[in-house]
Amino acid sequence: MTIRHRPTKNTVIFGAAAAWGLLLISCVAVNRTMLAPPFIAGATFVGNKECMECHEEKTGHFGSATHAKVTLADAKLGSTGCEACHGAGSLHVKAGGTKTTIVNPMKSPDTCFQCHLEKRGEFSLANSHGVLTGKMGCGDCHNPHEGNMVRGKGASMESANETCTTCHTAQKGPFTFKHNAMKEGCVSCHNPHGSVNQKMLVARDANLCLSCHLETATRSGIILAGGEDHRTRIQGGTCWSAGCHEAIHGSHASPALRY
Amino acid sequence: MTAKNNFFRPAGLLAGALLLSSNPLRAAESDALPSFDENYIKVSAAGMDIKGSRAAAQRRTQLSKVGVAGIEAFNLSRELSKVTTMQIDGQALPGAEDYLLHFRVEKNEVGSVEAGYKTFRTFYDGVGGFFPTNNAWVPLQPRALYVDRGKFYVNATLALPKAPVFAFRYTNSTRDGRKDSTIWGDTSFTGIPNYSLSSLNPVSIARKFLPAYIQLDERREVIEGSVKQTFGKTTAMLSVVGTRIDNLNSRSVDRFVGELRPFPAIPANPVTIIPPERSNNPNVGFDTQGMKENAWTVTGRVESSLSETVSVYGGVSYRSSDGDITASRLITITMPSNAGPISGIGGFTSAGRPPYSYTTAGTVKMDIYTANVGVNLKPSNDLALEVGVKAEDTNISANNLATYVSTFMNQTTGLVATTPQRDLAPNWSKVLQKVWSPEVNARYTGIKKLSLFGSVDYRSAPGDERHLDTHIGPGPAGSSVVAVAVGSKEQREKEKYLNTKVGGIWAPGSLLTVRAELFTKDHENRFEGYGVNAGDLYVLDYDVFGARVTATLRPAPTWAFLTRYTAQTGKAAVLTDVYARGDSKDAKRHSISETVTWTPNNLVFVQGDVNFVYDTISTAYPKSGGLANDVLRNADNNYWNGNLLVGFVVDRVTNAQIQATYYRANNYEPSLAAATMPYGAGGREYSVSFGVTRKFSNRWLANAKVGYFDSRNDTMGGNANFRGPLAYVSTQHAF
Repeated sequence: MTIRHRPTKNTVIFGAAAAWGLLLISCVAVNRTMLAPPFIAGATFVGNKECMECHEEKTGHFGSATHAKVTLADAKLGSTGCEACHGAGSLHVKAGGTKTTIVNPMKSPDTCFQCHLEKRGEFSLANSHGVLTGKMGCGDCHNPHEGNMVRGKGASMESANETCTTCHTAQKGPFTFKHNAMKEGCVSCHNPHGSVNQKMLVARDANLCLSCHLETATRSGIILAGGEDHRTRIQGGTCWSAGCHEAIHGSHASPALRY
Repeated sequence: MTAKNNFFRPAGLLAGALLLSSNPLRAAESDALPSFDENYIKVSAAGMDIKGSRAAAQRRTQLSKVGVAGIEAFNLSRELSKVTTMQIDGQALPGAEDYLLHFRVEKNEVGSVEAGYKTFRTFYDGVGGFFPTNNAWVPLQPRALYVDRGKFYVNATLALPKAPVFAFRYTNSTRDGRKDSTIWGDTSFTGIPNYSLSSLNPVSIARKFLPAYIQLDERREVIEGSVKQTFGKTTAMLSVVGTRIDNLNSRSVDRFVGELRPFPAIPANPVTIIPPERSNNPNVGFDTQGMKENAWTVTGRVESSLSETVSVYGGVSYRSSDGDITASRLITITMPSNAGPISGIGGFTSAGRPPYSYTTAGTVKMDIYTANVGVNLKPSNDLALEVGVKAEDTNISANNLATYVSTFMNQTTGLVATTPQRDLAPNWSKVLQKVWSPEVNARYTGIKKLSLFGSVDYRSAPGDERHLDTHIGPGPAGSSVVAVAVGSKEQREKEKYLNTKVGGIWAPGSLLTVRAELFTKDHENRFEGYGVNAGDLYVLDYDVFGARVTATLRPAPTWAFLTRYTAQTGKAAVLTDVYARGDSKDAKRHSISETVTWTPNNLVFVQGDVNFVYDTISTAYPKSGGLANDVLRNADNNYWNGNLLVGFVVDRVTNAQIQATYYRANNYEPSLAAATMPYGAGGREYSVSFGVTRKFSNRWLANAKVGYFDSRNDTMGGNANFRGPLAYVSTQHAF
């Protein structure tokens, strides 16, 4: 008869610790640093002036950028340190500007996630722009080096929604019959970073439309929108489903936003 | 057993001692693995072996189900002379259909020329709709769903010393392919009875979950020329941009496919049992929308630094666009008759509603004048002010002539009109809007370890909108024609937006940084009718209040904690000429995110992040009460997800990485199916992967990664679930 010894909890814990230790022993002679992204192993900060030597086109208007107005970096770097986003630049300077010695946020969003960490969660959702798959970069929609991060805001020259309609031209208009929600911006209905809902919608059902179209003076079991009770219509599903307000971005044939 | 414990315990202590004694910083990186950015090629392959919905897996992972193999990256860089460099980049990944060819030549103090073509594919699935009552699962027909985005570009810059900088840019961007749409058609195949023993079901049996797709054929060309010159401390720029858009997109329209309303009509009294599958008539076709637009934009900008503390900027812009629009929406309806099923484009019966079949052609013209001016002040070392204002004048006019096509179908005889009824339907609109938008930003750093900031931007946009629309509808009882009606609108618009933000950054030391801010939005959109619409009123008042806190804590060199919390409430209210002001929306969102990074020594890092989101939008529910509460509930969009990443050195030439992800949403409420369509997102995902990077020489690096992905989609009734292993290998060679 064979007696099989089952490992105890302590055995597992200390066994794992020993394995960890052996791993470290095997590596202790290795002169290489593993750092969580987006940091650069072995690099030290050099300050903004070094960056301006070669990248004047990026630094020249940084004073107008949204990020110039917030403290980002180590106090030693000043409030608008390039290296706050691009990583310590000593190796980059020493190598004469090679790409692998500096962080390029266009290729990896980890830099942006250092502060905008909730965006990593949103981009991880199934309905999101392809930033984590490398199809897009944060810089495709936001310019961190000049002006407002959200184009069309405030006194900037760009038009509102220009960020989205550069690619999504079919939704740009102008339309014969427009949807005024477009004036509030595409983000009224979509979360461009990611959503649990298809098409990155902030809501998947009729609540999306009723947010602005619900007339609630009468509440006796009816759902008023456009002066009509939509209760039975909402039984079917959303307002933009077939047969109703399909042309939700704007229509050339119907002020009720049918195609 | 005891002997074993006696061995492991000191081993663990040894491991712990090693852990603590490791030096976190080393100056040299003599064993660093090479990373290639010039003169190298990276060849890779990836694949997955999925059980379940391969379409859903393809969309979620953006990895082709047939696998991917090819050149992931290629670079060739050469110095053509002491001052001239050439660079070629490439990518060719069949399967993923990701391709790139980029060519660039740059000469110091002269300029650069670059050209290239880039395309990549985005996969979509045809999950369509699911109805839980009878487990009705309606995917799109099996067909490839993907969109290819392509871009051809040529850029040239002439930047001679002490001379104007000239730039030229041409871009041709395309989007081609087919993707799913949420414009789902309705069906009665829901398993819900439309009758009881004594009466009809008060709840409609129809639900909208017939999937649709949209076929994209979009092109956008941009040609731009600009010149920039600096005179002392003043820089001026002039640019001319031409844009041409050519879109022709088609959307499938499917309603009640496979269903036929009984004929002759079944008497309503006494109540007759009507089989659910025979309660409607199929309605199928395509809706094609085309737009060709030519636009020109001329922009001039000037910025000048008047002194160390004052700089000014300003710009003017004019944009003119002319567009041609076309549309073709031809819907075929089928219905039973005494002679069997009959079909017709825009088919209708006596006093019946036609399915809006039409063609349209027209034009849209838009002119926009924009100007802005601003000043940046730095009255002291600690205070920075920016004041700017934008004015914009927009004029849009659109005209089109639609032709509705309606075919009378006689169910008694089975005859279909050989000549459809054609109704000309002119539409036009004119929109004028004048925007005035000032903005103020301020920042103060005069308090030790504290930075304060604030901003206010306001937008006033009075405007005028007039339109005329012509549409068709059911004709009078007994007639064999549809009725044509004309509508019009004359209204003045007043938009007022006020956005504010105020906050501060407190950095008491290197251990802790806290950033906190409050933000508000106060928006009002007001529409007042005049002329034929005198007395009409619609006012939407929309307010947002929120707060955000971001904190970075580094209690030790090996630990970093980053926390961000956002709370936001949004409320909207609607007032009309008929109904008193009432709340239309009450939204709440709380999100908290945490990233923890632990770097115990040079050889390993551990980074974990997690996000919790509570997000709900309430409109009619529960305020409307009664039966209304059955057909609509709050929109809950809650979820949490997380990511764990561990990287460690294995030996002198090998690194390894372990990654795990998790996602959970639980907003799906199938019981809503009794009265409405349950859309809430519900599901769970997790993935784990292990990867190794190994250096074979200073010019050869290889990478291998294996993983497992498991996805469960409750909203689709499990029909979009998938799971299975994924693998990726690559090799990089420098030359």
